[in-house]
Parts: sequence; structure tokens; C-alpha cells
Amino acid sequence: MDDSPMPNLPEVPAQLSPDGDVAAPEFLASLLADGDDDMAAWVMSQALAERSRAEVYDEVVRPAMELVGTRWQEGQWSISVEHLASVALNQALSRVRPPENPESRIGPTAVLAAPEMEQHVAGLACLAQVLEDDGWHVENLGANVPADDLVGFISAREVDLVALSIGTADRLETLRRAVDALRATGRGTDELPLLVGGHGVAAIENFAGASLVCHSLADAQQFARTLNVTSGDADRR
Amino acid sequence: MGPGLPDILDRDPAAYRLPPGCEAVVEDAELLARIGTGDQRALEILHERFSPGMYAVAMRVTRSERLSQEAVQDAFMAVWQDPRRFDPARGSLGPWMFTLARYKAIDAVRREAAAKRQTAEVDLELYEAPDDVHDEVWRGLRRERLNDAIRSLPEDQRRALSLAFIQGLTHVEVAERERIPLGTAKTRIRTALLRLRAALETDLWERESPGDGGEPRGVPGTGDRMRASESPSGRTQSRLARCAIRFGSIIEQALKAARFVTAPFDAEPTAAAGGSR
Repeated sequence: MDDSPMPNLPEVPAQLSPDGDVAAPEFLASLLADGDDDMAAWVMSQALAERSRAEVYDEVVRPAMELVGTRWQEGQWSISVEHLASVALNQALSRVRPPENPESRIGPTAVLAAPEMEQHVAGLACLAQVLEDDGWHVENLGANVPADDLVGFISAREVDLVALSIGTADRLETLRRAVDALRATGRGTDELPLLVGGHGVAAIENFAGASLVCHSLADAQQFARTLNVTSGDADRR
Repeated sequence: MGPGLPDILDRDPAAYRLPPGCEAVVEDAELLARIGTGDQRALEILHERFSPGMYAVAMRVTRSERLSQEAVQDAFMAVWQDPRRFDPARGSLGPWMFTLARYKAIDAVRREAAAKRQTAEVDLELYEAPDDVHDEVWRGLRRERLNDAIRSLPEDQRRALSLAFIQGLTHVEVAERERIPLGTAKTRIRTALLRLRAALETDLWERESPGDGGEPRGVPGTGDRMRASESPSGRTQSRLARCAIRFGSIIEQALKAARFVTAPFDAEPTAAAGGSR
């Protein structure tokens, strides 16, 4: 500890605009762990001003949440902190979601879900916004969706894309059941494009029944953009 | 680290801006290590590199330019005093600096809120339950005189007094904020208090002594009256003493509210009493 006098630090010019360097995963992780969703949203919005949503979520948000998970695994942060971070992230994401516009209500439809027992849904929330940015109408079913129920939901609608996500490899089995159940309806990959993603599939390249194993939101976005679907199909729903 | 680093950062940041790209060659850990040895240049680089982002973070917390500037200053002061607080094994320097700025900004908001609350409490006490109309008039007069006296203080003393009494800073914090030695900060505060007391005593004597009616009056608000037979000098001394006690009570309230001391007005705040922590 130094006892020397206060250095004469210059005042920071008030007119300086914030640069993008606040959008560092470590900083975002610390904000989320403190439950500061307001500042977390601000950090994200700073990054979103410079980069695409998929890039920001892939390069800032996901590493931040991985850091939260790592610190929990290492015992540095409690499970309560991890849960607080998850809640704060959801709140922050809701603050930076793409603005609604009339066309977003009639765009092609994507259904997102986490299979049975899976509770990690931050990735789905991020994917929802990435797709909404591209004009998709997104129905995000969230966590723990039983395979049979998912099939019933999708069968009752005209769905252009399905995306399933798992947070850990422990859920590969439930993911398998969900994918198999969807394919058992007779709709193949051409008729019902199906993405699987999330940290739980990070180590695999192919998944039977899936159109693509996504290792990033950019992957999912790129795939969705290749689909020959158009907006204006509201009558189908 | 030597005591003489101060003036280096008193310059326009543009004056010491590094050529583009040069900053990157200085690694975080090296930068902190250099600051640990008192390297002023390292502090300059740190400031140049991170202060805009830190300021933006602080603004997001405080929504106040003044508090944000304070928060950034406090953060750099903390780094200067103990650069070992940063552990490169746990992350990179930028996010740590932003986190530090955020905590300092929250501290600044907390300090500001506490100061406002304490000021309000003192005001409330002054207004609460007057003994009678005479007492209330006296309180108003006293507050008016006090404000006049404070305005008459030299700028540096008024600022030091404000930092200590209104913002609730310790003597050490006042010294840091004003960038002056601790002894100078104490002297400014104490001199300001003595000037205030002297100004109030003189002012009250000038108002009440010369031909202000033949009937002797007690000190307003105390509920007692002086004897008519008291000599002018004795009456003056008595009046001054009572004024000093009354004024002292105001300052004591402020001091207590700021968690400075519980000692009598004349006592110098000490480290043991929390005045120089």
C-alpha cells in the first residue's frame, strides 16, 4: 500500500464518447454476477452499435456466460450468483431486443425450444433476437419442453424452422428423443429444417436428423438466411 | 513510490498521447508492475487507455459528470496506491479497470446520497419543535448568519469545509480530493471553523450590543435571561460563550452526522475518532 499523495490525474473530457472497449466478456460477466442488468444491457448496446447482433452475442455474451459457468465450477461464485447472472442476462437481453415492427409479425416462423430437462435457455433467447433481426417471427418455448408436446405444437402450425438447444452434453439423450420425435412425423430436413445447438453440442459435428449442428449464432443465422422462406405468410398460422 | 508524481497528469491527455499502436506493446501486467515502482509514464498510459471507457461506465451509474469524474479519479488513485490489487491470473486489465470504476461510481452515489440525507436530517433537527416563536426566529437568524459567514470564507477553506461537512469526507479524503497534504487539509478545515465562529460571534455582538433596547434579554431559545445588573463586558462574554455553544452544537451535529467525532467542538478530529481514517 502506497501512502504517497494523490496523483494529479487529468479530468476525463466530458465530451468523450464511450468507445467499444467496455464490451469485454469479463466485464459483462462481472455485471451479470452483480445482477446489474441495466449496465449489462448498456454494455451490449455499446457493442451492438459497432457489430452485428450475432457477433456480439457470440463474442461477448456467450463468453461472458461461459465465464460465469467456469467461475461457478471453480467454486469462485456460488450457484446463487450463477442464477442471478442468468436472470440478469435475460433482463438485459429484453432491454436490447430488436424493435418490433409490423413485418416481424408476419415473417417466417421459427420455433425454438430446449428439450426435456434442459434449463439453459440463454442461447435460445439470443438466437430469437438474431432471427427477429432478420425478420423472422419467433416462438420461443423456453426450457424443458417434452418431445411429445413439442411435436404437437409444431404439427398445429406452419413452421419454417426449428432450433433446439442444450447447455450440457448430459442432455444429448433428451435432444435425441426430441429430434427423433419430430422426424417421426414424416417431415424430413427439406420440409422441416431443424437446428441443434448450445454448449452441449460443442464437441460434435453431426447429429442424425438435424439439418445442422450450430456452433455459433452466426452459423444459425447463416443457415436461416439460406432457407427459401418469405414473409407475408400470416394466413398459414 | 516517491511523493512527487503529481504534476505529470495535470496536462491535457492529448499532450502525452502515444503514437497509434504503441500502447498495445505494453502488456497489462507490465503496466501494473511499472506503476508499482512509481512509474508515472505507466500511469499515463493506463489513463490514456482506459479513462474514456471508465468515465462512460461511471456516467452510466451516476448520471452525473461531477460524480463520474470523481469516480474515475478514485479508481486511478486506488490503482496508484496498490496496483497489486489487480491479479492478471484472473483476467485482463481493461475489464478490471471498468469494474473498479463502476464500484467507485457506486461509492460516489452512496456518498452523495448519505450527504444529502445527513444534511436533510440536520435541517430537520433545526426546524423541529421550536420552543416558541422567539426560538424559531433565533434559529432562522443563526442559519442566515452561518450562511453569510460561510460565504465570506476563502474559496479553498470553503471547499474543504464543504467536502468534510456536506459530503462527509474524512480529512484524508479531503486531502486526496484537493490534492493537498493531510496537514494542509486539517488546517484549512480548522481555520474555516475558527473563522466561522469568530464571524458569528462578532456579527451577533454587533447586532445585539449597541443600543438594542434597554431591557436586558436572555440568549434567545435558552429559556433563561441574564440579570439586568450584568456589566456590558460580562454580558458580552456570557453572550459570546452561549453563542459559541449554540454554534458548536450545529457543527457537532454536522460532525456527528458525518461520523467524524463525538468529541466537543474544539477537539481536532483524530485518527482514533475516525477523522483521519
